[in-house]
Amino acid sequence: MRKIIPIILLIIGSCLISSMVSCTEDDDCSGNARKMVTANIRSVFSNDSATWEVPDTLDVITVYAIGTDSIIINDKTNATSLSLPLRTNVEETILVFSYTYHVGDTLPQHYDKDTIVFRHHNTPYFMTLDCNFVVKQEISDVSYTTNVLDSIVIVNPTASNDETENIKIYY
Amino acid sequence: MMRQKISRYIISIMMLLAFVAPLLAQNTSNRQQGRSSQSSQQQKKKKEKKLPEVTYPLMNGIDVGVDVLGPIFKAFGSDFMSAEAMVDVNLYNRYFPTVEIGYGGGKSTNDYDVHIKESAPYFRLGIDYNTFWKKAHGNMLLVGLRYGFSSGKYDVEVPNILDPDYNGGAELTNLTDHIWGDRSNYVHEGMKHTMHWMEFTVGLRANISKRIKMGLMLRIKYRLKASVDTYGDPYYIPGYGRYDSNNAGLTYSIIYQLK
Repeated sequence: MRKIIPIILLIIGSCLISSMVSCTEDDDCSGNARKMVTANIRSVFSNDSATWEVPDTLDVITVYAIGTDSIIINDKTNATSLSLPLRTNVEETILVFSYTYHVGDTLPQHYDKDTIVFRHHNTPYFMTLDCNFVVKQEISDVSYTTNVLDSIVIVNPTASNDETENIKIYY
Repeated sequence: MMRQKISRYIISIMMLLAFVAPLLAQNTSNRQQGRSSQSSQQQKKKKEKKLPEVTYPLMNGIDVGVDVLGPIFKAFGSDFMSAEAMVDVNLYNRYFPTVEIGYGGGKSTNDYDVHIKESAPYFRLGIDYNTFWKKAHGNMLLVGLRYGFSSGKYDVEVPNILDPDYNGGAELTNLTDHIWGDRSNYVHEGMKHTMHWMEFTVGLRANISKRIKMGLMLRIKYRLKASVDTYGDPYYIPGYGRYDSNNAGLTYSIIYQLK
């Protein structure tokens, strides 16, 4: 029986070493990617008896942010959905939607703009020493001009990375 | 971090060798002695086979012990250390209700100047079953269960926001906004955690002398429930290890039998 003890110890030791190896694997840091607001483009139709909404498309849209030279979305065509960043260290984000669209099926092109102001709450969250931080963001309020767009509805205030719908923009 | 990983490997191999070598030596010496009296042992074995099953009283002793791996890991460069003591009661040489209490903590900093500091007490309650309870040699192969609990505080801070154009420090922590270029500090002290977990254990306990034993125990740990602060996860839970959904751990104890 005593011969078994070293064998068992060796087995346990092997398990121990393999567990140590598994314990030292690098963390999966996919969760610390920047959170985005997913905006779906919609239109509402109605007649005397019913109202319904359908997905809509924007011919050409460019989105840029007040406070930076960066262009968030550059000349995206036939856009049905937009992925929008919010500021991580300031709790108000102002985005400008610049539209290019056709009047009828041909030229002339027409240009217009809307400005959308997101007010949101940022929570920088420590994950691990390997993954560092993620900034969690919750939309509290949206205000906007209505030059082209009709209205905006917050569906889910929590920005995420999984393309969950956060807002509906109606045209 | 790499030094920590390397030291983990080295320590685990050293501990394994340190524990196995004496037993192998003990085994060899036993074998030598055994050869000289082989015939008499064969006779004894025949007699032993005929002996009735060994029975043990309800109260068969109280063991107290301390874990020595925590300080050893610390000495080999680990950022965190735990000090742990245990006491168990030997019932029928089969059942060992066990209480383990300890205190752990430490500090660590990563390449991006993120500082963490954590400390907390912890305890575990559970029971072991000695599968070698019939064996006359007195060594034990224990399997068991534990419930563990820890509650404490942790600090996380990035005291210096580094210039991302120079050394990239803060930028890589996600505290710098890549689009707008804003930067912010992150200092949160005194964040609180509580955690409940369960452990499956398997271990060996070998006699060194009449009252002193060594115990090596492998622990597979599963998080049951945890509450953490709004601003971040704890990195290390004393008694549990890395704040993951499951974990593996090891204790190596020097144990004294009180009576």
